[in-house]
Amino acid sequence: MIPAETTRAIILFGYIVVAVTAVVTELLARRRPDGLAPLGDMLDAVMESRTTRVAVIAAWWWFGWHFLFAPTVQLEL
Amino acid sequence: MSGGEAAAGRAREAERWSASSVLWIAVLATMAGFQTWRGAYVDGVLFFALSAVLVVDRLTGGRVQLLRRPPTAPRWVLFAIVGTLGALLVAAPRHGPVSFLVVSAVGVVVFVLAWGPTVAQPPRPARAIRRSVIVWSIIGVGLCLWEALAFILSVTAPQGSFGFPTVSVLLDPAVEHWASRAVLVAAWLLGGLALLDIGRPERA
Repeated sequence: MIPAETTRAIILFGYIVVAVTAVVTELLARRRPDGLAPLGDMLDAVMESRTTRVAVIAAWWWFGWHFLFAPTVQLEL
Repeated sequence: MSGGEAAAGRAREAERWSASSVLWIAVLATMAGFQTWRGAYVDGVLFFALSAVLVVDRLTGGRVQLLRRPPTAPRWVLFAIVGTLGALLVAAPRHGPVSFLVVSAVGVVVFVLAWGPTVAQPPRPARAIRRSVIVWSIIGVGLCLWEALAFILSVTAPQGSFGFPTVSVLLDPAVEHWASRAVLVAAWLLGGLALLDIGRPERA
């Protein structure tokens, strides 16, 4: 069995890859905004649709609900 | 029905059920299913209800309006309200009734604001927006899949949540301490203001 420390490191590495990719993407977008729109500009554009606006705001709100109020649920299988 | 009327009807239908609308409703419905499966039943019900409301909104062509125009308020009033809410969220016990009331009230207010009309922004070139949508969708879906994988393994593999930590498990200690909770609360509230496009100066 793979030690828990190793699997934990792999999972953390995945989160770091996603975070670094996001930061690099945003930095590239800010350097050439007419080639790749920065995140804020992209959200401004797509959130002109009510469905997208409500869905994005709901996702944002859920982070607050989940982290600031709701207890963490751990499923037992 | 004439050919022109039929074409106009098809165009209205395509606009009503645009790809982004369908995808976002699918994302919310998927969230509802996942939350229900993992035992977070309140979260599941909320996401199911939101998915249903958006489907009804599409079926009715977006005719139901809650606000005629975006509400405005002096910035100092806005930031005073947000600052008070933030202080309450930092000071109140995390799983207590005050946190529940504040987060719920924020949810109701932002739903009404998000439902209302929005001010059109000066767009970037369509190609730049499309690329950005694709890249950020890949990043977002990648994060969700990695998080879901960690969660499923955490409840099925012997290494448990230590060996396969979700973001929630990693952030739990930070949310329990008042100083780091203050940072998270500030980031959450300011992020919400930015998404609702309120409280920031007019752009040229």
